[in-house]
Amino acid sequence: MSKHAALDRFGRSGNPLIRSDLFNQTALDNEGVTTLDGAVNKTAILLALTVSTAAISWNFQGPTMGLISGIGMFAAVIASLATYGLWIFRWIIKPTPHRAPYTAPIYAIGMGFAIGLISEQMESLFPGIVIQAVSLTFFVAASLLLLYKTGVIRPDQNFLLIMVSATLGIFFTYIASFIYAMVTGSSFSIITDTGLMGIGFSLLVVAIAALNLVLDFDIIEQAAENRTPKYMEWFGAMALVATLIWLYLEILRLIAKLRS
Amino acid sequence: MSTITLLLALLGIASFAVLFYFLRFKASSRQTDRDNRIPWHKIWFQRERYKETKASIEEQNQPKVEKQSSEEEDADFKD
Repeated sequence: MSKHAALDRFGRSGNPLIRSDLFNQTALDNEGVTTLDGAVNKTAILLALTVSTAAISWNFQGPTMGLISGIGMFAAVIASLATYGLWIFRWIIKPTPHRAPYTAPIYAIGMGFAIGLISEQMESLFPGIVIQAVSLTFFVAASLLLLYKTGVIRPDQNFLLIMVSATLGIFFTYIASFIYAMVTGSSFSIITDTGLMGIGFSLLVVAIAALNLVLDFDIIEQAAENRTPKYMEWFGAMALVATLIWLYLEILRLIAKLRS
Repeated sequence: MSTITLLLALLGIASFAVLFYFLRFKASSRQTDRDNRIPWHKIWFQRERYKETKASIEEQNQPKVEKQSSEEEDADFKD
């Protein structure tokens, strides 16, 4: 066996557990790798899809649209699970980033239908609330981006652990509230309460959703730095759009509580 | 439209522009040049890592079988 053939055969089979080359699955040319521009363009595409479908469900209210929104939300949940996996103390579903180019548009379209319906209902109760919530969402996102890019906020593994724990805590609270509502007919008062406790809870959730944006910026930044495959642009964009949608819904809820 | 909504709308447009403009720029060295960054490769490439581990184990096992068979052939030749 020649030296080159031996290197080709055995040199690449180092212990993969201590190798980080997987993130560096580089392509030789710049066309096949993640770039910041590409991630920004994909984010814009996904946001455009979300806004377009939100506009459809906003303008065509009715039982059919309610059903479409429900299906859309279900599809969005499946799409995000198929891409990001599910981690509850260990990986129950493993993440598959290479699916992001297909799942990201499904997520954006599905969530768009649901957002349009929720926004229209909130707007009819509190006129002007949607513009306020959208503006505050982008204001928070832009502020955190500047803090991230300048290095004021530097996410590390402890930060990630805190954010995952807090996000899972909120997720389980919402799930428990949903089950409680199905059994008793009323949800947890801390979530719907318009008093100080309810507003405090909403502020906490908004803060956690906003800090999740820092993780999304870091995913995009590292993906571009390490010249990862092109699908990571969709992956990062999907993460960013998902957090923006979550942040928007929480700000919407917070403003509604403040105006009640 | 109330004044506060109008002001917030203007703030939103400006923030949107800032977000999409600065997202295209690389983060400062203060952010990128540090050892305690989140190892996203270990988190998102679980499936690929599993496949590579499996492939490398199979790859390492493969030559041993070939080697054993060649030794047996040698032994036969000597006889």
